[in-house]
Amino acid sequence: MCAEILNPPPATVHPGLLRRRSVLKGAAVLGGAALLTACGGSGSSSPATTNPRGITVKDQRGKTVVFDKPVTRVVTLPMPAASMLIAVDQSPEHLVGMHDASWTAVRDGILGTIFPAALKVTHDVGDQEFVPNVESIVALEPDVVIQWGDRGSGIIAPMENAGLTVLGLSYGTQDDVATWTRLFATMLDKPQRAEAIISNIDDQLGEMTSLGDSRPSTGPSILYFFQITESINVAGSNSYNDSYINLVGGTNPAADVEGPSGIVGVDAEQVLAWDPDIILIGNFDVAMPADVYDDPVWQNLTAVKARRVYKVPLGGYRWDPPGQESPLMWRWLSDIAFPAGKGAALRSQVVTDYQLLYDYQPSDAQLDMILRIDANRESANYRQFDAT
Amino acid sequence: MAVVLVGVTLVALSVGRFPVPFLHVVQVVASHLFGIEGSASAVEGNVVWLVRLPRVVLALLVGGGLGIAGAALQATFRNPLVSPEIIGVSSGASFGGALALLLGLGSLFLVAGAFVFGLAALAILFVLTLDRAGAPMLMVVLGGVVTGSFFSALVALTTYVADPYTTLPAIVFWLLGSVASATFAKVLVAAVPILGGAVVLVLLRWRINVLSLGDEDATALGLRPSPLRWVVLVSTSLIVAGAVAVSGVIGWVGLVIPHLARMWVGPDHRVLLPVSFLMGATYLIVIDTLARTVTAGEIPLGVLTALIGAPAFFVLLRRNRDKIWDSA
Repeated sequence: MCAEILNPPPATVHPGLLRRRSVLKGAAVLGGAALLTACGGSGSSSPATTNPRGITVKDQRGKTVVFDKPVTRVVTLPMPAASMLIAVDQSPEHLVGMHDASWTAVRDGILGTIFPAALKVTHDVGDQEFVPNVESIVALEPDVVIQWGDRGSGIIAPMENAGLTVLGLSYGTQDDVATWTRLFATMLDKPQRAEAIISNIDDQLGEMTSLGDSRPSTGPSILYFFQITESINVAGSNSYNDSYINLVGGTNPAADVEGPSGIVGVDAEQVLAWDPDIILIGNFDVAMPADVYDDPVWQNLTAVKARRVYKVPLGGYRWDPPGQESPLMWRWLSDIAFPAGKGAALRSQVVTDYQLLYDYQPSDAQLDMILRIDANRESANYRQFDAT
Repeated sequence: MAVVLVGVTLVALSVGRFPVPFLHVVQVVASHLFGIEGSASAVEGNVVWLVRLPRVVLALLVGGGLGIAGAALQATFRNPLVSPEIIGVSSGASFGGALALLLGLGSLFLVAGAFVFGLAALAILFVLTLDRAGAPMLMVVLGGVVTGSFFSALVALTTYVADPYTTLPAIVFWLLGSVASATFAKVLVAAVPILGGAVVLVLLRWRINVLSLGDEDATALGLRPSPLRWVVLVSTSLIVAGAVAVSGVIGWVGLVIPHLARMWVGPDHRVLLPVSFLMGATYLIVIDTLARTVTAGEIPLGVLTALIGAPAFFVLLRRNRDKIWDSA
């Protein structure tokens, strides 16, 4: 029974999970999960059960896979999967291959410093469209290959035909992060890791939910720019970014536009018409706050006049999409949107979470790098994040 | 037609997602041009002057340029299926732009890259057809197709090696064709080659008339078709490279606008060339205005040019079947 309750079918993974209503529902489900963990054995809190015949996991395509023993050789293709696997394992030792874009994120971010061994992992396992390089993957002799499960069978079938074991995943909500974490922890036979990571996320989600709910119903309007340099793309209503803007008590001026992945192209005029109080520049564009401050087109925006344009931090992975470091993103955004000089608390939370996720203590200089202190120096209320 | 264009430009300047009263639009333009102070707010001034105006002017230049380039090429090759894409310059220019985006270089390099590689495609075409006595048209078209395919492959290569989360979306958006990122700097960059090329074409208008009769007739009338054809090619390449550099590849306009113009004013290039420019400009301004105003989200220009243009073209084609090419 535990397993049934604790293994929500993929259908329950819906977009916009973090909108208030869903948050409550999610909290109830997750609260139940925490309770019920007590009644099950190892793996009972993951989409899998350990049985005498081995480790059984169910991927997000609904396919069930049985491993004889914990996996030791994993290849990942979805970009965020590599850093998440490293976080669950607290080591890159079981990661034998990853997508090149994951590798460059490791190289350019802080993960490469924390885990130098991750830089030696093979990264020529597929192309930019995630079409696997079957032969190079087979040569790595992986126990399992992690691949996108929602982008058609064309990128999975060639690997399965070659006799590889593939887990198909989907992505876009905080629920997916929990599902991936459980899946990875189960196949590595480290169920306690999933519990530790997920309960940390849930605790902070609960905290943030009550904090957000306690705030006035019309918080500052926050516009997230996915891209701003050549084309303007913002986070619309069904995006993950929209969910955390609402979570902290802000409002998304672009909430009435929708795009296939939540990201929509808009006209500069539309941005001027929305006139957001706060602008977030994501990690998928090279632009920095200074670029926005200097552009004559944006001079009359409230956010520019109040110097409230911010570059989103970049930690073990980008903070914009859902990931293991998302609670830090929520706290950061909350401190930005409702400045109360609590920046030091965020710094210590980063230290705490990195201890949990990567068993690593970041230095002050590394914290500055993660929080992009330099890029955001000219922006209002950012001094709160300075090292004390 | 010129009156229609001016009217359309004014309407385009006064509509948008940010509400600005028409009077304020006029005041903003007047205050910038003649220093007359109006009651428009600073933000309205920015919207009209920095956001709308460059965009509308850019649509005008690109649409007009593609229209006249298409008309000149169709006459030169005496083929109704020819469009600026066929001589390979579009592909060359799009590779240059995509390369600049891939390397994360700034807008200046984007424009320069598109320009340099657009002209490089033309240079390759020159070399391919060099020493072929008189460069028969077949060689030029074939060379253009080959050059175009080569650069298309290079564009595919850039998207293949681009980071799917950072550079790829920018490249894809740019390739789709859009004037959304218009600035006065881009207007200037587009204006020089497009207007320069267009002026040359208009000056050559009666020679293009002769050229469209065929090489033998042209020779008989005392023209040397081959050098003239190259002058037309270089001019259209300038126009196309300038257009692609600032707006990516916008299809359809260069192929269909000349046909629409021909249905309307007939095959005389003395009239056809300027009318193609005006029609192309009007068409693209209308389409781009729809793209930015209909929904809060931006509709890709390429989608609208064909979705609206194709049925309109179809209707006209049914009505004017006999006029479309036979008489040209």
